[in-house]
Amino acid sequence: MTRGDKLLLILVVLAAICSGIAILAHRHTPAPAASVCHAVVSVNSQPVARFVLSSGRALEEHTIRGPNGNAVLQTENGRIRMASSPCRDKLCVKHGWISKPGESIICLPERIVVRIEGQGEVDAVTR
Amino acid sequence: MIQKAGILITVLLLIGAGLFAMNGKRVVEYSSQQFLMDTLVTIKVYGKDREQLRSAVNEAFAEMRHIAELSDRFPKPGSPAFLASDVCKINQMAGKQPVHVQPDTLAMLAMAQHYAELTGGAFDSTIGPVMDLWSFGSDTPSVPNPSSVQKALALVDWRAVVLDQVAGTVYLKKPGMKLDLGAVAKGYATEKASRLLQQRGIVSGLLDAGGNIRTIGINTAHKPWKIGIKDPRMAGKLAAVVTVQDASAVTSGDYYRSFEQDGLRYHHLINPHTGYPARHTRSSTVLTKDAGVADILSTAFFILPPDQALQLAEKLDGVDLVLITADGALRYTRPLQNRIIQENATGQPDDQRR
Repeated sequence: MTRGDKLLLILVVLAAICSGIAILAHRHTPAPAASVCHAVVSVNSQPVARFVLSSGRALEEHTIRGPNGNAVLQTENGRIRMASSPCRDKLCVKHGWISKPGESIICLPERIVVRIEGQGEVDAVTR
Repeated sequence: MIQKAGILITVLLLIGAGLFAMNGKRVVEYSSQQFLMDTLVTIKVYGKDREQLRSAVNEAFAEMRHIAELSDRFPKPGSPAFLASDVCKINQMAGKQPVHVQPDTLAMLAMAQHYAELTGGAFDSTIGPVMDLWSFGSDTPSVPNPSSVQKALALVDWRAVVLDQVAGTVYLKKPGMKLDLGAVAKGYATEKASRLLQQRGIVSGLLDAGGNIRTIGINTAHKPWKIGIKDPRMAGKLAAVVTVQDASAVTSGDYYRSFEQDGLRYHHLINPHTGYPARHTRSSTVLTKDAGVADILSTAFFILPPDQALQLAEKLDGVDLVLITADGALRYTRPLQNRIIQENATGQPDDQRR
Protein backbone atom coordinates (compact mmCIF):
# COMPACT_ATOMS: atom_id res chain seq x y z
CA MET A 1 0.00 0.00 0.00
CA THR A 2 1.54 3.33 -1.08
CA ARG A 3 1.52 6.49 1.01
CA GLY A 4 -1.22 7.88 -1.23
CA ASP A 5 -3.32 4.75 -0.62
CA LYS A 6 -2.98 5.15 3.13
CA LEU A 7 -3.96 8.82 2.91
CA LEU A 8 -7.00 7.96 0.80
CA LEU A 9 -7.99 5.20 3.21
CA ILE A 10 -7.79 7.58 6.18
CA LEU A 11 -9.80 10.23 4.31
CA VAL A 12 -12.52 7.74 3.34
CA VAL A 13 -12.81 6.33 6.86
CA LEU A 14 -12.97 9.85 8.32
CA ALA A 15 -15.65 10.84 5.80
CA ALA A 16 -17.67 7.72 6.68
CA ILE A 17 -17.41 8.42 10.44
CA CYS A 18 -18.34 12.11 9.97
CA SER A 19 -21.34 11.34 7.76
CA GLY A 20 -22.46 8.63 10.23
CA ILE A 21 -22.29 11.06 13.14
CA ALA A 22 -24.11 13.72 11.11
CA ILE A 23 -26.94 11.34 10.19
CA LEU A 24 -27.34 9.97 13.73
CA ALA A 25 -27.24 13.47 15.24
CA HIS A 26 -29.86 14.67 12.78
CA ARG A 27 -32.21 11.86 13.89
CA HIS A 28 -32.44 13.36 17.35
CA THR A 29 -32.46 17.03 16.46
CA PRO A 30 -35.83 18.49 17.39
CA ALA A 31 -37.63 20.51 14.74
CA PRO A 32 -36.90 24.22 15.01
CA ALA A 33 -39.44 26.06 17.14
CA ALA A 34 -42.08 27.93 15.24
CA SER A 35 -41.78 31.70 15.38
CA VAL A 36 -45.54 32.10 15.95
CA CYS A 37 -47.29 30.14 18.71
CA HIS A 38 -50.55 28.31 18.22
CA ALA A 39 -53.08 27.42 20.90
CA VAL A 40 -55.06 24.24 20.34
CA VAL A 41 -58.44 23.88 22.02
CA SER A 42 -60.00 20.47 22.54
CA VAL A 43 -63.29 19.41 24.06
CA ASN A 44 -63.59 15.81 25.29
CA SER A 45 -60.10 15.13 23.87
CA GLN A 46 -61.25 16.16 20.35
CA PRO A 47 -59.53 19.22 18.80
CA VAL A 48 -62.13 21.89 18.01
CA ALA A 49 -60.11 25.06 17.31
CA ARG A 50 -56.59 26.38 16.75
CA PHE A 51 -55.67 30.04 17.26
CA VAL A 52 -52.59 31.97 16.22
CA LEU A 53 -50.96 33.79 19.14
CA SER A 54 -48.83 36.61 17.82
CA SER A 55 -47.56 39.68 19.58
CA GLY A 56 -49.28 42.99 18.87
CA ARG A 57 -52.58 41.31 17.99
CA ALA A 58 -55.72 43.01 19.36
CA LEU A 59 -58.13 41.36 21.80
CA GLU A 60 -60.40 38.76 20.20
CA GLU A 61 -63.07 36.57 21.76
CA HIS A 62 -63.78 32.99 20.73
CA THR A 63 -66.78 30.95 21.86
CA ILE A 64 -66.26 27.25 22.56
CA ARG A 65 -69.24 24.94 23.04
CA GLY A 66 -68.77 22.64 26.05
CA PRO A 67 -71.11 19.96 27.45
CA ASN A 68 -72.88 22.46 29.76
CA GLY A 69 -72.88 25.61 27.67
CA ASN A 70 -70.51 28.08 26.05
CA ALA A 71 -67.06 29.01 27.31
CA VAL A 72 -65.35 32.17 26.04
CA LEU A 73 -61.64 32.33 25.29
CA GLN A 74 -59.76 35.58 24.73
CA THR A 75 -56.57 35.96 22.68
CA GLU A 76 -54.48 39.10 22.79
CA ASN A 77 -50.85 40.05 22.15
CA GLY A 78 -49.44 36.49 22.01
CA ARG A 79 -51.43 35.10 24.93
CA ILE A 80 -54.71 33.32 25.65
CA ARG A 81 -57.04 32.93 28.63
CA MET A 82 -60.41 31.52 29.59
CA ALA A 83 -62.58 34.63 30.07
CA SER A 84 -65.73 32.79 31.14
CA SER A 85 -66.93 29.21 31.56
CA PRO A 86 -70.17 27.61 32.70
CA CYS A 87 -68.22 25.45 35.21
CA ARG A 88 -68.80 25.79 38.95
CA ASP A 89 -65.28 26.20 40.33
CA LYS A 90 -63.98 28.67 37.65
CA LEU A 91 -60.44 27.33 38.19
CA CYS A 92 -59.87 27.69 34.45
CA VAL A 93 -60.84 31.38 34.56
CA LYS A 94 -58.69 31.97 37.67
CA HIS A 95 -55.72 30.35 35.85
CA GLY A 96 -55.29 33.60 33.89
CA TRP A 97 -53.24 34.15 30.75
CA ILE A 98 -50.84 31.60 29.24
CA SER A 99 -48.32 32.45 26.54
CA LYS A 100 -45.44 29.94 26.58
CA PRO A 101 -45.14 26.70 24.56
CA GLY A 102 -46.21 23.69 26.62
CA GLU A 103 -48.51 25.72 28.93
CA SER A 104 -52.14 24.70 29.24
CA ILE A 105 -55.46 25.65 30.82
CA ILE A 106 -57.68 22.74 31.79
CA CYS A 107 -61.38 22.99 32.63
CA LEU A 108 -62.23 19.57 34.04
CA PRO A 109 -66.01 20.06 34.43
CA GLU A 110 -66.35 21.28 30.85
CA ARG A 111 -63.70 18.89 29.52
CA ILE A 112 -61.97 21.77 27.72
CA VAL A 113 -58.19 21.84 27.30
CA VAL A 114 -56.31 24.83 25.87
CA ARG A 115 -52.68 24.04 25.12
CA ILE A 116 -49.98 26.11 23.50
CA GLU A 117 -48.18 23.92 20.99
CA GLY A 118 -44.46 23.27 21.23
CA GLN A 119 -41.90 22.09 23.74
CA GLY A 120 -41.78 24.08 26.97
CA GLU A 121 -38.75 24.62 29.23
CA VAL A 122 -39.61 21.36 31.03
CA ASP A 123 -41.02 18.01 29.87
CA ALA A 124 -43.90 18.11 32.40
CA VAL A 125 -45.03 19.89 35.54
CA THR A 126 -45.95 18.05 38.74
CA ARG A 127 -48.68 19.89 40.65
CA MET B 1 -4.51 2.89 -7.10
CA ILE B 2 -7.76 3.51 -9.05
CA GLN B 3 -8.91 -0.04 -8.30
CA LYS B 4 -8.26 0.41 -4.58
CA ALA B 5 -10.06 3.74 -4.60
CA GLY B 6 -13.04 2.05 -6.28
CA ILE B 7 -13.17 -0.58 -3.50
CA LEU B 8 -12.98 2.08 -0.82
CA ILE B 9 -15.73 4.15 -2.44
CA THR B 10 -17.92 1.02 -2.61
CA VAL B 11 -17.28 0.40 1.11
CA LEU B 12 -18.18 4.02 1.84
CA LEU B 13 -21.41 3.71 -0.15
CA LEU B 14 -22.30 0.51 1.72
CA ILE B 15 -21.69 2.24 5.10
CA GLY B 16 -23.84 5.16 3.94
CA ALA B 17 -26.60 2.83 2.76
CA GLY B 18 -26.50 0.98 6.09
CA LEU B 19 -26.83 4.20 8.08
CA PHE B 20 -29.62 5.39 5.77
CA ALA B 21 -31.50 2.12 6.34
CA MET B 22 -31.05 2.49 10.13
CA ASN B 23 -32.39 5.99 9.86
CA GLY B 24 -35.27 4.90 7.61
CA LYS B 25 -37.71 4.50 10.49
CA ARG B 26 -37.62 7.70 12.52
CA VAL B 27 -38.69 7.90 16.14
CA VAL B 28 -42.29 9.10 16.26
CA GLU B 29 -44.36 10.47 19.14
CA TYR B 30 -47.82 9.17 19.91
CA SER B 31 -49.83 11.17 22.41
CA SER B 32 -53.37 10.73 23.69
CA GLN B 33 -55.54 12.32 26.41
CA GLN B 34 -58.53 11.05 28.38
CA PHE B 35 -60.55 12.40 31.30
CA LEU B 36 -60.23 9.77 34.02
CA MET B 37 -60.31 9.78 37.85
CA ASP B 38 -61.52 13.40 37.97
CA THR B 39 -58.52 14.60 36.03
CA LEU B 40 -56.98 14.83 32.58
CA VAL B 41 -54.60 11.97 31.85
CA THR B 42 -52.04 12.42 29.06
CA ILE B 43 -49.89 9.55 27.82
CA LYS B 44 -47.04 10.38 25.45
CA VAL B 45 -44.83 7.59 24.10
CA TYR B 46 -42.03 7.35 21.58
CA GLY B 47 -41.07 4.53 19.22
CA LYS B 48 -40.81 3.59 15.59
CA ASP B 49 -44.13 1.89 14.97
CA ARG B 50 -47.06 4.29 15.39
CA GLU B 51 -49.66 1.53 15.33
CA GLN B 52 -47.84 -0.37 18.10
CA LEU B 53 -47.64 2.82 20.17
CA ARG B 54 -51.35 3.56 19.67
CA SER B 55 -52.40 0.06 20.66
CA ALA B 56 -50.18 0.08 23.79
CA VAL B 57 -51.52 3.48 24.90
CA ASN B 58 -55.12 2.31 24.44
CA GLU B 59 -54.38 -0.72 26.61
CA ALA B 60 -52.78 1.53 29.23
CA PHE B 61 -55.89 3.74 29.37
CA ALA B 62 -58.10 0.64 29.71
CA GLU B 63 -55.98 -0.48 32.66
CA MET B 64 -56.34 2.93 34.31
CA ARG B 65 -60.10 2.95 33.72
CA HIS B 66 -60.35 -0.44 35.43
CA ILE B 67 -58.57 0.86 38.55
CA ALA B 68 -60.77 3.99 38.49
CA GLU B 69 -63.90 1.81 38.49
CA LEU B 70 -62.65 -0.36 41.37
CA SER B 71 -61.84 2.64 43.55
CA ASP B 72 -64.74 5.01 42.71
CA ARG B 73 -66.40 6.01 45.98
CA PHE B 74 -69.31 8.09 44.76
CA PRO B 75 -71.59 6.18 42.34
CA LYS B 76 -75.29 5.80 43.25
CA PRO B 77 -76.04 2.56 45.19
CA GLY B 78 -77.32 -0.12 42.82
CA SER B 79 -75.95 1.60 39.69
CA PRO B 80 -73.61 -0.36 37.36
CA ALA B 81 -70.74 1.87 38.54
CA PHE B 82 -71.54 1.04 42.18
CA LEU B 83 -71.54 -2.69 41.42
CA ALA B 84 -68.17 -2.34 39.65
CA SER B 85 -66.62 -0.52 42.62
CA ASP B 86 -64.88 -2.66 45.24
CA VAL B 87 -64.56 0.40 47.50
CA CYS B 88 -68.37 0.94 47.47
CA LYS B 89 -68.98 -2.71 48.31
CA ILE B 90 -66.41 -2.71 51.13
CA ASN B 91 -67.87 0.50 52.62
CA GLN B 92 -71.43 -0.81 52.37
CA MET B 93 -70.45 -3.97 54.29
CA ALA B 94 -68.41 -2.16 57.00
CA GLY B 95 -69.04 -3.82 60.38
CA LYS B 96 -71.08 -6.54 58.67
CA GLN B 97 -68.93 -8.93 56.65
CA PRO B 98 -65.75 -9.30 54.54
CA VAL B 99 -66.09 -8.56 50.82
CA HIS B 100 -64.42 -10.44 47.96
CA VAL B 101 -62.40 -7.98 45.89
CA GLN B 102 -60.24 -7.86 42.77
CA PRO B 103 -56.47 -8.49 43.17
CA ASP B 104 -55.79 -4.82 42.29
CA THR B 105 -57.94 -3.63 45.20
CA LEU B 106 -56.07 -5.95 47.56
CA ALA B 107 -52.73 -4.70 46.20
CA MET B 108 -53.74 -1.03 46.65
CA LEU B 109 -54.90 -1.69 50.21
CA ALA B 110 -51.80 -3.72 51.11
CA MET B 111 -49.70 -0.74 50.00
CA ALA B 112 -51.96 1.69 51.87
CA GLN B 113 -51.66 -0.35 55.09
CA HIS B 114 -47.88 -0.59 54.79
CA TYR B 115 -47.46 3.19 54.49
CA ALA B 116 -50.10 3.93 57.13
CA GLU B 117 -47.95 1.99 59.59
CA LEU B 118 -44.69 3.49 58.33
CA THR B 119 -45.98 7.07 58.64
CA GLY B 120 -47.68 6.52 62.01
CA GLY B 121 -51.10 7.09 60.44
CA ALA B 122 -50.22 10.38 58.68
CA PHE B 123 -51.62 8.56 55.69
CA ASP B 124 -54.86 6.67 56.43
CA SER B 125 -57.11 5.16 53.74
CA THR B 126 -60.06 5.09 56.19
CA ILE B 127 -60.36 8.90 56.18
CA GLY B 128 -63.67 8.62 54.24
CA PRO B 129 -66.08 9.73 57.05
CA VAL B 130 -64.06 12.93 57.67
CA MET B 131 -63.77 13.72 53.95
CA ASP B 132 -67.55 13.34 53.65
CA LEU B 133 -68.03 15.98 56.37
CA TRP B 134 -65.89 18.49 54.52
CA SER B 135 -67.52 17.60 51.16
CA PHE B 136 -64.86 19.29 49.05
CA GLY B 137 -66.42 17.96 45.84
CA SER B 138 -69.83 19.53 46.52
CA ASP B 139 -71.26 22.90 45.46
CA THR B 140 -71.21 24.19 49.04
CA PRO B 141 -68.21 22.92 51.00
CA SER B 142 -68.02 24.37 54.54
CA VAL B 143 -66.08 23.93 57.77
CA PRO B 144 -67.80 21.16 59.77
CA ASN B 145 -68.58 21.66 63.47
CA PRO B 146 -65.94 20.26 65.87
CA SER B 147 -68.26 17.68 67.47
CA SER B 148 -69.09 16.05 64.13
CA VAL B 149 -65.37 16.03 63.27
CA GLN B 150 -64.62 14.20 66.55
CA LYS B 151 -67.40 11.70 65.85
CA ALA B 152 -66.12 11.02 62.32
CA LEU B 153 -62.52 10.72 63.59
CA ALA B 154 -63.58 7.77 65.78
CA LEU B 155 -64.18 5.87 62.51
CA VAL B 156 -60.76 6.69 61.04
CA ASP B 157 -58.51 3.78 61.96
CA TRP B 158 -56.29 1.95 59.47
CA ARG B 159 -55.75 -0.79 62.10
CA ALA B 160 -59.41 -1.76 61.75
CA VAL B 161 -58.94 -2.78 58.08
CA VAL B 162 -58.65 -6.55 57.76
CA LEU B 163 -57.05 -7.85 54.57
CA ASP B 164 -57.17 -11.56 53.86
CA GLN B 165 -54.78 -12.16 50.97
CA VAL B 166 -55.60 -15.90 50.82
CA ALA B 167 -59.38 -15.51 50.74
CA GLY B 168 -59.09 -12.30 48.69
CA THR B 169 -61.34 -10.32 51.05
CA VAL B 170 -61.40 -6.94 52.78
CA TYR B 171 -63.31 -6.14 55.96
CA LEU B 172 -63.79 -2.87 57.83
CA LYS B 173 -64.36 -3.76 61.46
CA LYS B 174 -66.53 -0.79 62.55
CA PRO B 175 -69.95 0.08 61.08
CA GLY B 176 -69.80 3.47 59.38
CA MET B 177 -66.12 3.17 58.40
CA LYS B 178 -65.37 4.28 54.84
CA LEU B 179 -62.35 3.75 52.65
CA ASP B 180 -61.20 6.66 50.51
CA LEU B 181 -58.51 5.66 48.02
CA GLY B 182 -58.20 9.20 46.64
CA ALA B 183 -54.51 9.34 47.55
CA VAL B 184 -53.71 5.85 46.27
CA ALA B 185 -55.68 4.93 43.18
CA LYS B 186 -54.42 7.54 40.71
CA GLY B 187 -50.77 6.72 41.47
CA TYR B 188 -51.39 2.98 41.46
CA ALA B 189 -53.24 3.23 38.12
CA THR B 190 -50.44 5.37 36.64
CA GLU B 191 -47.82 2.83 37.75
CA LYS B 192 -49.82 -0.08 36.29
CA ALA B 193 -50.25 1.75 32.99
CA SER B 194 -46.53 2.55 32.91
CA ARG B 195 -45.57 -1.09 33.52
CA LEU B 196 -47.98 -2.25 30.82
CA LEU B 197 -46.42 0.18 28.33
CA GLN B 198 -42.97 -1.15 29.19
CA GLN B 199 -44.18 -4.74 28.73
CA ARG B 200 -45.36 -3.69 25.27
CA GLY B 201 -41.83 -2.60 24.41
CA ILE B 202 -42.07 1.15 25.11
CA VAL B 203 -38.67 2.44 26.25
CA SER B 204 -39.40 6.17 26.28
CA GLY B 205 -42.58 7.89 27.42
CA LEU B 206 -44.30 10.12 29.94
CA LEU B 207 -47.60 9.67 31.76
CA ASP B 208 -49.21 12.76 33.28
CA ALA B 209 -52.28 12.03 35.40
CA GLY B 210 -53.28 15.54 36.42
CA GLY B 211 -49.76 16.35 37.55
CA ASN B 212 -48.87 12.86 38.82
CA ILE B 213 -45.91 12.19 36.54
CA ARG B 214 -44.41 8.81 35.64
CA THR B 215 -41.56 8.75 33.16
CA ILE B 216 -40.33 5.75 31.20
CA GLY B 217 -36.64 5.67 30.34
CA ILE B 218 -35.09 8.92 29.17
CA ASN B 219 -36.43 11.57 26.78
CA THR B 220 -35.91 11.77 23.03
CA ALA B 221 -32.90 14.05 23.51
CA HIS B 222 -31.32 11.07 25.36
CA LYS B 223 -31.36 12.98 28.65
CA PRO B 224 -33.24 12.54 31.93
CA TRP B 225 -36.70 14.15 31.86
CA LYS B 226 -36.93 17.70 33.21
CA ILE B 227 -39.88 17.98 35.58
CA GLY B 228 -41.07 21.33 36.91
CA ILE B 229 -42.59 21.65 40.39
CA LYS B 230 -45.46 24.12 40.37
CA ASP B 231 -45.12 27.21 42.53
CA PRO B 232 -47.98 26.82 45.03
CA ARG B 233 -48.81 30.53 45.09
CA MET B 234 -47.94 31.89 41.62
CA ALA B 235 -49.89 30.61 38.61
CA GLY B 236 -47.74 29.56 35.67
CA LYS B 237 -44.50 29.74 37.71
CA LEU B 238 -42.22 26.89 38.75
CA ALA B 239 -40.73 26.62 42.24
CA ALA B 240 -38.02 24.20 41.05
CA VAL B 241 -36.97 21.95 38.22
CA VAL B 242 -35.68 18.42 38.87
CA THR B 243 -34.38 15.64 36.64
CA VAL B 244 -36.16 12.30 36.64
CA GLN B 245 -35.21 9.10 34.86
CA ASP B 246 -37.51 6.09 34.67
CA ALA B 247 -39.32 7.21 37.82
CA SER B 248 -42.22 9.27 39.20
CA ALA B 249 -42.82 12.75 40.54
CA VAL B 250 -46.07 13.25 42.46
CA THR B 251 -47.17 16.39 44.29
CA SER B 252 -49.79 17.04 46.97
CA GLY B 253 -50.60 20.76 47.18
CA ASP B 254 -52.91 22.91 49.28
CA TYR B 255 -54.09 24.86 46.22
CA TYR B 256 -56.42 22.20 44.80
CA ARG B 257 -59.91 21.36 46.04
CA SER B 258 -60.07 24.18 48.54
CA PHE B 259 -62.52 26.87 49.64
CA GLU B 260 -62.43 30.06 51.67
CA GLN B 261 -64.44 30.75 54.79
CA ASP B 262 -64.02 33.77 57.07
CA GLY B 263 -60.89 34.80 55.17
CA LEU B 264 -59.14 31.44 55.60
CA ARG B 265 -58.46 28.82 52.97
CA TYR B 266 -59.40 25.21 53.76
CA HIS B 267 -57.94 22.50 51.53
CA HIS B 268 -58.55 18.79 51.07
CA LEU B 269 -55.32 17.45 52.63
CA ILE B 270 -56.84 16.56 55.97
CA ASN B 271 -54.71 15.35 58.88
CA PRO B 272 -56.21 11.97 59.88
CA HIS B 273 -55.29 12.70 63.53
CA THR B 274 -57.05 16.08 63.81
CA GLY B 275 -59.73 16.06 61.11
CA TYR B 276 -58.57 19.49 59.85
CA PRO B 277 -56.31 20.59 56.96
CA ALA B 278 -52.58 20.26 57.69
CA ARG B 279 -50.91 23.69 57.75
CA HIS B 280 -47.14 23.15 57.82
CA THR B 281 -46.69 22.80 54.09
CA ARG B 282 -47.87 24.26 50.77
CA SER B 283 -46.76 21.38 48.61
CA SER B 284 -44.96 18.09 48.96
CA THR B 285 -43.37 16.42 45.91
CA VAL B 286 -42.13 12.84 46.12
CA LEU B 287 -39.65 11.48 43.61
CA THR B 288 -39.38 7.70 43.53
CA LYS B 289 -39.67 4.83 41.08
CA ASP B 290 -43.24 3.68 41.79
CA ALA B 291 -46.02 6.21 41.10
CA GLY B 292 -48.34 4.47 43.60
CA VAL B 293 -45.80 4.84 46.41
CA ALA B 294 -45.14 8.44 45.34
CA ASP B 295 -48.87 9.24 45.50
CA ILE B 296 -49.28 7.89 49.05
CA LEU B 297 -46.04 9.40 50.36
CA SER B 298 -46.71 12.85 48.88
CA THR B 299 -49.89 12.97 50.98
CA ALA B 300 -48.22 11.57 54.11
CA PHE B 301 -45.26 13.98 53.84
CA PHE B 302 -47.66 16.89 53.40
CA ILE B 303 -49.41 15.93 56.65
CA LEU B 304 -46.25 15.32 58.72
CA PRO B 305 -44.29 18.29 60.12
CA PRO B 306 -41.53 19.19 57.56
CA ASP B 307 -38.56 18.04 59.72
CA GLN B 308 -40.18 14.69 60.37
CA ALA B 309 -41.16 14.28 56.71
CA LEU B 310 -37.61 14.98 55.47
CA GLN B 311 -36.08 12.66 58.08
CA LEU B 312 -38.41 9.83 57.12
CA ALA B 313 -37.86 10.38 53.38
CA GLU B 314 -34.08 10.16 53.86
CA LYS B 315 -34.49 6.83 55.65
CA LEU B 316 -36.44 5.31 52.75
CA ASP B 317 -34.49 3.73 49.91
CA GLY B 318 -34.88 5.50 46.57
CA VAL B 319 -37.30 8.13 47.92
CA ASP B 320 -36.66 11.86 47.59
CA LEU B 321 -38.78 14.74 48.78
CA VAL B 322 -39.17 18.42 47.90
CA LEU B 323 -41.23 20.50 50.34
CA ILE B 324 -42.41 24.06 49.98
CA THR B 325 -43.26 24.93 53.54
CA ALA B 326 -45.81 27.42 54.90
CA ASP B 327 -43.11 30.09 55.25
CA GLY B 328 -42.31 29.79 51.53
CA ALA B 329 -39.01 27.90 52.01
CA LEU B 330 -37.91 25.21 49.56
CA ARG B 331 -36.49 22.20 51.40
CA TYR B 332 -35.39 18.85 50.02
CA THR B 333 -33.64 15.60 50.83
CA ARG B 334 -29.83 15.67 50.52
CA PRO B 335 -29.40 13.33 47.49
CA LEU B 336 -31.47 15.80 45.44
CA GLN B 337 -28.72 18.43 45.57
CA ASN B 338 -27.38 17.18 42.21
CA ARG B 339 -30.78 16.73 40.61
CA ILE B 340 -32.38 20.10 41.32
CA ILE B 341 -31.36 22.15 38.31
CA GLN B 342 -33.33 25.29 39.09
CA GLU B 343 -34.72 26.89 42.23
CA ASN B 344 -36.97 29.93 42.22
CA ALA B 345 -38.07 32.19 45.05
CA THR B 346 -41.49 31.46 46.50
CA GLY B 347 -44.09 33.79 48.04
CA GLN B 348 -44.85 35.24 51.45
CA PRO B 349 -45.47 33.18 54.63
CA ASP B 350 -49.02 31.79 55.05
CA ASP B 351 -51.52 32.74 57.73
CA GLN B 352 -51.02 30.10 60.45
CA ARG B 353 -54.47 30.26 62.04
CA ARG B 354 -56.61 27.15 61.63
